[in-house]
Amino acid sequence: MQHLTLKSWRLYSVVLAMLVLAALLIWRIASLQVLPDTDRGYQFLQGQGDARTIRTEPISAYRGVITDRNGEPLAVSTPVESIWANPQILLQNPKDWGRLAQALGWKKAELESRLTRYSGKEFVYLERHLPPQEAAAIIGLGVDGVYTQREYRRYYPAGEVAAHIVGMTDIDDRGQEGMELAYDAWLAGESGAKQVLKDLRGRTVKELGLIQSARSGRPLALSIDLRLQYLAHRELKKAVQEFGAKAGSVVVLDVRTGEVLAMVNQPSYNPNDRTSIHPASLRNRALTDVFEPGSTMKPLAVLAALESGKFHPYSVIDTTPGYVQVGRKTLLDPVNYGELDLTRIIAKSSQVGMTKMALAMEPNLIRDMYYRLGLGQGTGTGFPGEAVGVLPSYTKWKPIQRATYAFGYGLNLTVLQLAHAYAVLASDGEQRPVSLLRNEEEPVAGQKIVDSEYTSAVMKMLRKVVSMQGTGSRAKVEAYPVAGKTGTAHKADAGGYADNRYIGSFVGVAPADHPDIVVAVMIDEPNDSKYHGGQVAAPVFSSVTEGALRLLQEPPRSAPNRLTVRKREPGDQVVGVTL
Amino acid sequence: MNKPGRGPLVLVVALWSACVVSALAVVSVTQQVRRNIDELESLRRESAELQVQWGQYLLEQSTWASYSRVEAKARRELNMHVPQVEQIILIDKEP
Repeated sequence: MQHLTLKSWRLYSVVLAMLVLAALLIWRIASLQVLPDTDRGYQFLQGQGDARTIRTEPISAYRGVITDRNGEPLAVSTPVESIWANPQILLQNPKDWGRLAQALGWKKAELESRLTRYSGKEFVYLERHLPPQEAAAIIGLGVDGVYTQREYRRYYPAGEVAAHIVGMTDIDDRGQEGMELAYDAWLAGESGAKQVLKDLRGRTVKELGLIQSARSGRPLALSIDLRLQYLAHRELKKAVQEFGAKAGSVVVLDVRTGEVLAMVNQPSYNPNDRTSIHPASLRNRALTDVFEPGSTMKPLAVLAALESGKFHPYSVIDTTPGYVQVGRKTLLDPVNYGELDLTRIIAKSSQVGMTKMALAMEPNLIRDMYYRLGLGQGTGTGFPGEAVGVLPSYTKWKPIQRATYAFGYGLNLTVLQLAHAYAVLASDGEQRPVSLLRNEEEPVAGQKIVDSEYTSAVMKMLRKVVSMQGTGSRAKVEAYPVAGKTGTAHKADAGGYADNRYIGSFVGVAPADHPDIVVAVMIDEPNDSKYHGGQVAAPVFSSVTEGALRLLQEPPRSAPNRLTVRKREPGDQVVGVTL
Repeated sequence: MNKPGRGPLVLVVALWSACVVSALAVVSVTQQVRRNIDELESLRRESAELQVQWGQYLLEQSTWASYSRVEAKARRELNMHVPQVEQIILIDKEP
């Protein structure tokens, strides 16, 4: 063992040196892996690793689809690509500008000026809402600093037919008009994001966590029936063109549920082509614009008269000599009608008769009735910009105010309010809230606001209006009995009423024996020669009602050909060939 | 000291190999999970893709089947018209 001890100091020093080296190594490893503040330590390494594998993936969400009551699409979002550039990068390679400008369909100078204008920024849109294929072609050029971004564009398959009620979104897919605006929060989707781990080939291997959960927009079913909407649109457009009118509206209301089955206006617009939209055509006039109704109020005033107990349907009022002096005004009938009962006052739309009736009643009764029927009140549809109308109340009523109220002046309302008021007549005095959304639970309970004895009396009078002797004979529908009232109102002008500007209207109920729908038509400023509600609005009512009842599968009342079927019985002789 | 029996050795070997087997199983399951997640991801992508296509077809369908187009075709090309009241035969069901 001597030779070992001799050189043991050398052995020990070598062992010591080895140990020190090993300790240094372990220290280095520990400092890299454990201690947080080391230069290029584990934090740096982890960061580098994460940068190569962890990705944030968007979770896309769509804006909800808007449909009509039968599920026909009215507004659908589809993805499009927007091209954007980072001017900081793009400005450094001018040699690519030519190719890029060509692909975008621009002049090179245009691109150059756009880039220099935004040279201080890091983001500029080059083109928005391109179809995915075109965007792919531009990205395929491989120009540095040009990127795409997926966005959604709203398409409206029904176009101008349902434009006013559906509304539209702006370029960033936020509601701007109509139901798109009213139910924006309901429809809007919220895209989310999640963190994932990806391998070398770009496959997702692990989901690390949700950064923000996505919420897709919910679908919205409107109350309108696109078939009726189209029909009303077509007929109104035809009438507005034929009579050279400034504007017009039609509302079709379901009597039993209070749902709006159709609501159209002229002028309309195409929501798919925003460049040609005129601001005046954006308004949903049936809801946002008020007008003085004129004679269409008379049946409602008569309803108040019947309820007061002072009048009954056969009460006779003497309208001789065909005019009546109220204050300083003289109210005229076209001719001297002589003695008229209430039914014929409505059928002939006699100003004098209504005035005498109103002046014989308590002043507040007519206004109260209008108010109960929903005039001067919001209908509760939630539609943006809906007008409430004006229904003034006076502490001391002048005779002229009492008289004008009875024939529909001195107050104003929307076409929807007019239809809503008539829906009470049609449903035996029950009132139901108006809805622009499809009612999920049927039937809708109504609130009794007028005794059905009075409403059915007024309905009988309204059927006379549509007869040959009435003012609304052009509202007749061949296969169904209808009831309604014409209205022709002078438009208010600076300092009084204009002599040559009118609003012609017709509001009616069909079928009169078992009402399904209320149709209100308003034609604003038809030309001079034809302006009576019975001439301009009643024909629209007739064609819309006839088509609508057929579409709603209401059996015609006056079909000349009828067959009766019954179950086959043992004794039956079979004559022809049956399928 | 007694000569150690073979029992403990067998136990150590068994535990060691169980440990190795379980480690390999963890590797294999992890791999499986990654594959499944990748598949899930691609199915999700496909579903989004299909959703987009559905929207486009919906638009296409409603464009081709728009009422104005159907009406124009029915009237002009097929020479159809709305039946007159005389042409309608109402069939009543016997009560």
